[in-house]
Amino acid sequence: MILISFSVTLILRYVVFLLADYFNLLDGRIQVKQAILFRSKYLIVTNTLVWVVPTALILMVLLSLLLNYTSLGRQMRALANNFPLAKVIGIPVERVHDLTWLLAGGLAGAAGALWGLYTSLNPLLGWLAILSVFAATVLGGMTSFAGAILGAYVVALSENTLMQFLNSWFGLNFAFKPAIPFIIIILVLLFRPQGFTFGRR
Amino acid sequence: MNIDFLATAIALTTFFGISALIALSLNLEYGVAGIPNFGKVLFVSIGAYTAGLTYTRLLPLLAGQAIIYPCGGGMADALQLRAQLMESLPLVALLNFAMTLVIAAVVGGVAGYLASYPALRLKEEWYLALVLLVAGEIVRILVRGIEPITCTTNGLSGIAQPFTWIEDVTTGSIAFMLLILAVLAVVFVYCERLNYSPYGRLLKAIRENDRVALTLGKPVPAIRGQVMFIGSAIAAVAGVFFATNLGFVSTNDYVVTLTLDIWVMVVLGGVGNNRGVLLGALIVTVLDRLTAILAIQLNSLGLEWEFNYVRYIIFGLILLFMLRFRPQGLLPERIRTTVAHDIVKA
Repeated sequence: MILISFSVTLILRYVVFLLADYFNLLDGRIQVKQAILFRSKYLIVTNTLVWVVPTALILMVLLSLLLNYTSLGRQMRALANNFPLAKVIGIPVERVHDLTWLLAGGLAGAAGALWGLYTSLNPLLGWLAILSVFAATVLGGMTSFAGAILGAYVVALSENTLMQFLNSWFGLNFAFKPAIPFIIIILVLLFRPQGFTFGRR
Repeated sequence: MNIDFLATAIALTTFFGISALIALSLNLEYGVAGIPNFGKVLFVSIGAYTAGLTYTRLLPLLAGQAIIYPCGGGMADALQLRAQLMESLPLVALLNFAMTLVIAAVVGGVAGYLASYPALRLKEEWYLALVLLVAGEIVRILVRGIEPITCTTNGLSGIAQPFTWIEDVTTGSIAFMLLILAVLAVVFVYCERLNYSPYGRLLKAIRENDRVALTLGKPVPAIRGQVMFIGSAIAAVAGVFFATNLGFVSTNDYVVTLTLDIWVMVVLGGVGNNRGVLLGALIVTVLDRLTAILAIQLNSLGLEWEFNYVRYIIFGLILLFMLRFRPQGLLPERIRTTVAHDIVKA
């Protein structure tokens, strides 16, 4: 299963590479004019931020509505909870599975579009992010929305803010930045495999 | 077109031997014990970095010379010293190489055990796959940031194969090729013996149903750790050969696509069948060389395609088609029955 996704990813990635190369888009940038809307000693609000944060919030609200209040969402959660039981009860397992992949791919695509506002474009963009995303997911506990969001914030803050502090306090080289989410993953797996999961399970 | 057939054959066989070594170790982990090791490149790279360290530190020490710090200002001097020692002192060169292999096997094995320790204790196997997949990349980035190992992004050159003291270059590379084939033969026999031993049957039992194995009192996580130790040690040894074959240690060579090549070999050849894995390694290396030659030809005709991309697309398609239409591979795993099996049947 994981092997199949791996090979499909590979094919798609290098098709994207071919296309990007063909259209001269490798390491290009979307030309978005950066403008500062608000600035104080600790906080800088740019125009891209105004786009990114609300979009992400809207998508999250929509997703949580979908998961909690539609039959598709309930079926998805049933599948995640107990696959054989979901099948026995008559949930169209294959279809729900396909739709979940569609949804997940779409959300990742949306995230990529938002991210493209910030960095230079490269088909390996997602590959470089997989570590942070995985760290956030593991930390979040994979059971609740709040956990995932909290996990994402903890990872993002430790990767950027904490790294900045470590650099100024201990002179740690910025080359070691990718190690931070990895250390988070290892620590979570060792000491709290359930992540930010509290109470009922 | 001008192709030196002897040189090509030697290079191809050498590379086949190295890939086959890594593929055999992956087959032991995934094919026999069912551990999805997507971080093969990590352990190969550990072997390579070990070679880098021993060539710059141990080699002068064995020859009784002072160690020159290999990066920065001393780079050229250190490189010259390495080359000169490798060419003038056969015994030192061979001893250094042998010690490199042993150190790499130990370091790689320990790394394999440690890397799998947290994830093997969780019930979902894809944790391990992801942790290892990511660990390979992390170690690469970290090593790139630590100067004494590979001189950051510069890399270390002059990590030569141990037969540079043979004057004729072709004879030297043939000797190196034969050494690799000999190691491959030993590892192959070892894997076969392990496969058909009681321990091998235990591994297959864990692969088929780890809960049943656990209820029968087998320490499943510990055994998986042992397999990771063995597999990673073999991969690290292969990494030493990989680096010395290139003559160069650079973090850029150990990216995730190397893992992919090895997976293609195992899945194509036959998961769980060592002979099949050798066949898969042979096919992939030949295919690899052919696409490289084809790419040169096409580029000389003025086709501006980056052939590397096409190569990975082809490999991904091979993987996908094999998994869809012949998941057992070209040479499927043979069912092995014991005496007890026949008695129960009768």
